[in-house]
Amino acid sequence: MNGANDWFSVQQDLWRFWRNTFAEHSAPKTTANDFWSEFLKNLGLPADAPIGKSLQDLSSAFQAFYEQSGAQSKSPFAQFSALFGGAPQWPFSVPNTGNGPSFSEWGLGTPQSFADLQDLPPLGIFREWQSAHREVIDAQIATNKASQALARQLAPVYQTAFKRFIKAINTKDDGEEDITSLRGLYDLWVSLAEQAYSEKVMTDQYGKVFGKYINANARLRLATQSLLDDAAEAMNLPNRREVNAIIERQHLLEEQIRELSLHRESVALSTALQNQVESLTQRVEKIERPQARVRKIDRRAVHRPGSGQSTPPIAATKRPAATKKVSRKKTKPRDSEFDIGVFDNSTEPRNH
Amino acid sequence: MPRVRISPQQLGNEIAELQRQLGCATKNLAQAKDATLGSCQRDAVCRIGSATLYHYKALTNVGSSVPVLIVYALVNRPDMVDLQHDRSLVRALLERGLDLYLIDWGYPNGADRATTLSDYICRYIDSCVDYIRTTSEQERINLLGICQGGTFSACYSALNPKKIRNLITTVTPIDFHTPKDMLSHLFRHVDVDLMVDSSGNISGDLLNAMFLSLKPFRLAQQKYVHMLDDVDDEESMKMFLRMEKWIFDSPALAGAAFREFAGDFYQKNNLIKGQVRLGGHGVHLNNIDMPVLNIYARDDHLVPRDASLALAKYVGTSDYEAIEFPGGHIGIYVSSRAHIVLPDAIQAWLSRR
Repeated sequence: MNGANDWFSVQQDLWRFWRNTFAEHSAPKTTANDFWSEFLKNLGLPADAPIGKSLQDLSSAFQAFYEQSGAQSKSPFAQFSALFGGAPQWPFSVPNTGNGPSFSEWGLGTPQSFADLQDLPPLGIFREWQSAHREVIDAQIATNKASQALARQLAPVYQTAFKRFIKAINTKDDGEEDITSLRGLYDLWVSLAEQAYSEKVMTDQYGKVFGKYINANARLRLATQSLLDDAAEAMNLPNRREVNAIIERQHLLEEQIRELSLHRESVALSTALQNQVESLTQRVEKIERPQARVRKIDRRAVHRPGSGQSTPPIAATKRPAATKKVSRKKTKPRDSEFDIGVFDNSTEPRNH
Repeated sequence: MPRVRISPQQLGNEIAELQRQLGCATKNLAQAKDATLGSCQRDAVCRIGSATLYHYKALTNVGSSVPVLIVYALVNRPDMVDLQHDRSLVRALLERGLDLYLIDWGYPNGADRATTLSDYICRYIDSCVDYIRTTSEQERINLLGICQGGTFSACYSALNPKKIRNLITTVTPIDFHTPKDMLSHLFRHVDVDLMVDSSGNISGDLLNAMFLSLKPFRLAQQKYVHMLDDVDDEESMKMFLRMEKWIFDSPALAGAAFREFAGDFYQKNNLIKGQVRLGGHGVHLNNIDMPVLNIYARDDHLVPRDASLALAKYVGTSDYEAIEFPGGHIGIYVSSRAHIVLPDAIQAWLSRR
């Protein structure tokens, strides 16, 4: 017998041992004691051997823990899910085994569920820190519940669609064409599934569940952000809160600058108008003097008996009114707003 | 009597064909690489905030002296109006002698999260309108709004009726609470403030997921199966890739603007109630006294026809016309038929005014 064969046969024995142990005790009602008894038997040890006794005690405790936790009826995933989204019972308590106080008694008066723990008011110097963490946990639980609720809403869509699909391929109504290709079959499925989905989505109940799902996710994101902001602040690093404040201030400043800019324009315009009025007044005065002389002459002419002439009023000499067309051909487009940029190099505005 | 009549021979052939198409798709998609969008030359003429105003180069002698400003939605990019040479609303309108401008809202970043609807409508659109009025020497210009851009255009026209000569809205939501409006229904119970507070800007990916969820079986599955039918046609594949690029190249929505649009428009339906306020002024649709052309899509799953047709009830003009197009929300711009019919309708309507 060579070494390789020895090794091979040892491996076979090992696998056989584990296979026997598990195969014989995989029935639902197997207890931990049975398991360990068989385990010791397979090891070639009597069940009451000292080591076996210790193992049996340990197994009893384990069995009690296992049954208390309800783990025998749930997969690890289900347990995890129950912890965060489902039943709030905190599973870790072990009854009295006869040797001293049970875990439950030790923990008498302590919170019995995860939700109870969450409800305890945070205390001490880390009060705020604890609150922020609890908000994240709460939000996570709410998100998981909302996600499950949404999945529950959507599950019947497939059932409805499938029922209709089966009916549709088994019955032919008047005017309906035969389905003669796999693609046709697929298109029919899509059409029916889309219809079933649409019907479900348009119900009030779905709308509410969907809203809760979106809101729960937003709450979780906000809670996590807040935690990260606190951490960044503690390390004197910039955080989202600060950036938001800066952006809001910047937006406010932009508005103020725009208002100032418009105000400046209007002041400049009124100053310009004032100057123009003054200049026009002066011109009018200059014109009026000689005209006054003319008028004098004219007035005399007016008063001359038999004359129908009169002096045209000064207003009649003003410039013609502006046309409706906006006459800004040569002016630069309004760029009073500080953030408007006109591309002079790339632009050749067309005039019509 | 069973409806399905697929012979084993047919089944075998179909599976073999599917195999061939899949093989071909791998090869042709790799060859097509990425797609570039846009077929018409344009100049960037001014920039306001993150938005850019483009002026398209004329393709013919300009037939109308009144320019048209295209106002696109904040959702998705405006490239859809000029997807490719033979699927371009812009090109078709240029060929019909229109002088075209377009506002590209850009890609809002974190610094734009406080940008409001008032900024978009009362500053950005207003600056663009004034720029065009000045350079074209026209007292009033034409406004062509697309989807959400149509809602913006309606609001702007209601606030500034003296600057707008004709208003054209396409697939534009006005009444946000019509019975078949799935998007509005889904938004009804969403806490918009919480959403914006937690996200800042609303990401394009989130919006896309929302849009896909309106028709998940068609938009996330069937579309790709049907793509295989055109796998041998290089041009079809390129167009498919361009559409994909356009759909998923989604800018984020500025947080403050989203807060207002989702809250005031989608949830409270304030536009038709006359309770929207922009730039310190109330928006009253009955101030729209210029001629209005309202174009909607018969099979629109995003903006149901009733949501668009509501405009007729609220505008103050007597010169109102609505045109229905067969097709969906996007199909009315990019389908081969719409490529001719839509610009013809717009040009004919404008030429009569």
